[in-house]
Amino acid sequence: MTFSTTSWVMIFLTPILAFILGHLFLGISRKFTARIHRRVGPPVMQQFIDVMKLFGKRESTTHSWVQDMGALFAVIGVIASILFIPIGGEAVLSFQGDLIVLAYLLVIAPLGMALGTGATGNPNSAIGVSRGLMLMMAYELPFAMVLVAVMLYYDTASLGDIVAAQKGAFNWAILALPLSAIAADLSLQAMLGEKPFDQPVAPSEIASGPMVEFGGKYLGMLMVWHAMSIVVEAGLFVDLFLGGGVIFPGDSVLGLIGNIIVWAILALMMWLISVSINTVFGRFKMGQSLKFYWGVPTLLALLSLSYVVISNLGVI
Amino acid sequence: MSEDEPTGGLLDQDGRPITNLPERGFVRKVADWASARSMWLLWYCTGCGAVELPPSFTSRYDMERYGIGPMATPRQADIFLITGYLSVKTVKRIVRSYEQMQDPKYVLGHGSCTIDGGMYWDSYATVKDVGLYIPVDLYIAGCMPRPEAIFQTFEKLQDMIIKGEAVGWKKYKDNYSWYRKNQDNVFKRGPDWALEEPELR
Amino acid sequence: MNLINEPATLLIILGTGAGTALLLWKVRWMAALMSIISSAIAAGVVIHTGLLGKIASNEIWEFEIFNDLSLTLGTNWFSYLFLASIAVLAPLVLIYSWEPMRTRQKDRPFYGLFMISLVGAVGVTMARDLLTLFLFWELMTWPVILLIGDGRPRSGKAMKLYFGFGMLSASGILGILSIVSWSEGGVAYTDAVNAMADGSTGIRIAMVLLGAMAFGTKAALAPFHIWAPAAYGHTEDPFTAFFSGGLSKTGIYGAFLVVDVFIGTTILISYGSVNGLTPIGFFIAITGAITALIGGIMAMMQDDAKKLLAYSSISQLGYIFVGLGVGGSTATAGALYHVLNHTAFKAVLFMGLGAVIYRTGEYRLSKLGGMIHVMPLTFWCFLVGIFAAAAIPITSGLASKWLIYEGALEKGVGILVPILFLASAAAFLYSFRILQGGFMGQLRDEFKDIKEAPITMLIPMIIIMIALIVVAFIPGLPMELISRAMADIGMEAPEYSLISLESGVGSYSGLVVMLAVVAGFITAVLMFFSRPLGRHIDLRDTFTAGEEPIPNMDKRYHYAWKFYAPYERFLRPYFNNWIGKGWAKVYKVSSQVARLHRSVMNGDMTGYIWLIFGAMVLVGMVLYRYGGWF
Ligand code: SF4
Repeated sequence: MTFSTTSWVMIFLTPILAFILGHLFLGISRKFTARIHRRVGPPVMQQFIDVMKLFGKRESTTHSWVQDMGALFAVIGVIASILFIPIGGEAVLSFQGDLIVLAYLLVIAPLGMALGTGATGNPNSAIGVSRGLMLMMAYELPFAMVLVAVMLYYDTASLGDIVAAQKGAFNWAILALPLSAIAADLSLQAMLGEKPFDQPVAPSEIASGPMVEFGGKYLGMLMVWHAMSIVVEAGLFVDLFLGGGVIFPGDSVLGLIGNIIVWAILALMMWLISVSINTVFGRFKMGQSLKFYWGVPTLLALLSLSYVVISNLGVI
Repeated sequence: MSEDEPTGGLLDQDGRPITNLPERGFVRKVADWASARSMWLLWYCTGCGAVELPPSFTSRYDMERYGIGPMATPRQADIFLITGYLSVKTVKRIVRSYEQMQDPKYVLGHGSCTIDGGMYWDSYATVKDVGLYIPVDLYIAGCMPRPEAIFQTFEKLQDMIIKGEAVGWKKYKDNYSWYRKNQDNVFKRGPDWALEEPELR
Repeated sequence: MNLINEPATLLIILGTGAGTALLLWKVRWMAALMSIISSAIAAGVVIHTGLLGKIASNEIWEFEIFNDLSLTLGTNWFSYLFLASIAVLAPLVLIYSWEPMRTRQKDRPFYGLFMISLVGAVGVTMARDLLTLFLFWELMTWPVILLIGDGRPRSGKAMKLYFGFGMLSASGILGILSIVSWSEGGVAYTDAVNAMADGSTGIRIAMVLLGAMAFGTKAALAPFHIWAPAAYGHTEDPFTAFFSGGLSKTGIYGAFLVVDVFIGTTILISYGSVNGLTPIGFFIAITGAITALIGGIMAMMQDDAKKLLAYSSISQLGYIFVGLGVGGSTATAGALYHVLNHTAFKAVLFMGLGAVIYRTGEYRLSKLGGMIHVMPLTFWCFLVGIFAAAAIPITSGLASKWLIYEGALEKGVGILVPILFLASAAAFLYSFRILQGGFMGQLRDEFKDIKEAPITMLIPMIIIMIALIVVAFIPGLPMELISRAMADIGMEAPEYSLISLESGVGSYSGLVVMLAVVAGFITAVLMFFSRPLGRHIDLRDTFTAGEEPIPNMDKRYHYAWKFYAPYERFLRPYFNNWIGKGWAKVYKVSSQVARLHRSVMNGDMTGYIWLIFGAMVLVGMVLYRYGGWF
């Protein structure tokens, strides 16, 4: 496989882009939430300052080397997975590993982080992680159905090909598979860990769960992971359903930049939808979220999946 | 020097510990600037003064404008806000939480009670002066202080951090034996306390 | 090299080891040494032959035992795949067993029994007729029963369950044998193929069902799986690694034999197919997927670590059945790949757990915890095993599951993949439960001074761990073997190169994925070490809302009991062991039959004479009718 110059540049730029976008997204969402609360809100750059401060702390404490490893794993996983997500139609590495590989790559970061938090010996973090994993099991069912429906619809598992197949104004998968898109967006809410599915980090119940013993640069690493994972997850939705943000012809550099900007705006939109749901909801209990996800979203995803399977058989 | 007089560290004429300001390079100055713009609070809400905090972080005054926000645990927090009187029993928790915070850390005493016991000045169960047990960077006078006063304090603290004058955390390390002696007068550390004695770096 | 005696050589080497180990079982170190040496030589022979590529696929050797009865043996690449995974694992497990067995009470010939069942398992993969298969199958099955009772409560029940299901499996093979010999008059595999080609639909379905009974039982396919958690949970700790990692593969081998060799794709497709997916294949695949799901969900509810891994084993073998059922080049390659993977990671998981149990004597997760602080190397090996089991891309675990998924997607089976995804989500759940309960969290005071696992236990684990990681870079390496194995059962392997795998719908390049991970690692390390290292603090120095830990209390804050309580509450009613209850009904009915039988066999001589007389009359009538003897 030969890499063009653009792909090399993209490989190096993507993590940086994700870093900046992620913190920008978080900053914007804080402002957004504040406006819903009729507050002024922090400056948009606040998230960068927070990370700077955390890395600038004079000391940080660790309980064991596994905690260090967990902080590392979180960032490793998220950087590895952002490289497999097409950005603005530019499939960075995604031709080398398709959606299924990505689905498993996405797990490195949370599982590694969970390892690190478990090693702190604080029971709150174990509770938080167990909640996070249970939540994962809840949304995995509808989300897997969504993925399968999209993959079968386009008859490819490669995310780059899925994006390429949606070229053109009214070719987006959200129009072809609207029920899947709704189910995916509902799953996105839990994936992003926003209310009503923020049980893993319920600050008032379990003292921010996994992060309970993390301070200083350790917390900084987790903040970076969180910010970048928002880009990964919202971007995945954009690639799956919103045509990957490709509206300009991507063969010129200018067109690529335009596409990346559109991609980022669409991803921001998905993130803000999630945040606005977040602001008006309380927190579900674990059993409730399982019942929720295995109810309506699963039904929607199943309907859409059966539609795809039946139409592939040539009946419709 | 008599027996009770603690050794090590500098004391001012009132017998309170002081310390010299640390040297700061460029990176440290930037970090301190960030630190001043992003202050995460740990609230210790035992006293009645805590009721003034909700108005200061909700829409009327909106603390988050300054990048100040509540945090769940001492590990994540930068500022320890002690809102009101401390009973003899709770000093232990205060010290443990303070020692779990990570440098640089700042302490705000909120309300008259933290200064001299306030209206509980004659109570047998109240600790009169928080500054004896942990170093307090700034006090907010008033019973209870209005959000305006709280914000003034935050702005003052920001100034101090940017100038490198908020050095309570260093004071604690330099004069640990002094603070430790005062703490030992009030409570005993159990065998499973498991916190190391802070050392100066 | 003339390979004419190859199978016999292997069996003789192993048999010698087994014999000496059995004879000298009182002198334990001799038995151990003999079995390690003989199994290592056998493994060497196997690897050597494989590397030379001298597997004579179509040659069959006959060894006459009695005047009419002869064993036929042979290997082709397909059976070599299973043979190699079993034979290479055995010496590793035997080396691993040295230390834990040294201190154990000498109440049974551990090494002898181990070696006999190894001979059996090797023989099963080399058998070329059904009778030989049956003989070796029994040789493999029965020694294990003596290794099951580990003295813990309910181990007697586990033994009984294993016995019952062993009988079931044996009768399944006998059923297949009788079908084949009845219709073709011979018991060789070729006869079986002919029997299927000539036979009616009824016979073919009977073959599939009997095959599921015979081999599905061994591979813990639902609903035949209920013996496995009990048996794996109660065997001698060092043996479990071989039991679950190695012996269960013979069940998979048998299932492949029945579906892909005896019946074959042509016959399967003759019943109609959608995108190349056949009804029988779909039936097998859906059973496998349900097995994977049940195994995963049951595993996440266990507190007993060995039971957890046992259920996880069931779940992983379910994936193999999905690959087998879906069929086609990609999925079959995935299933065979998963055989290799599962052998490796399940072995390392049971070994790591065994090391913890050896040091602590504790197998309940709620009583363990904090082992990272005292057994870091064991933790690393275990962690890599867990990563492989959960198919995290930094181990070889992803390649096989990826192939199975892609195979299912190629055929457009929409419903299988979500079930498998759910099963793998359950895999994350149980993986983390065992990590958190056993290795993370706070260390108990009484375990403060335990040492790292002994070197003889560590070396096999580390070897397997390195293999798992190296293959993640070059997922095409095992495909060399798999493609040859697939050629021997008349299938074409999917496209692959050393570093990447291709399927009809996507591609997976292990090297690129690993390089992306390495890139992430470099960035993360730069970010992390830009600041000074963290100050190490004590485990009890945790956030407790300011509260001091209660002094001198040997209770820790360790969250491991009912780790997934909200889900257990929700899911328990649906997983309330209804399969087990069904089998209990079968047991009741069969014991009633047995009671009837006992009322005839009551020790009264006249009754027997009447019985014999009646039987003779019956046989005479049958022979008169069909045999034309009189
Ligand atoms: S200062 Fe006043 S308001 Fe604050 S705690 Fe003391 S008595 Fe209450």
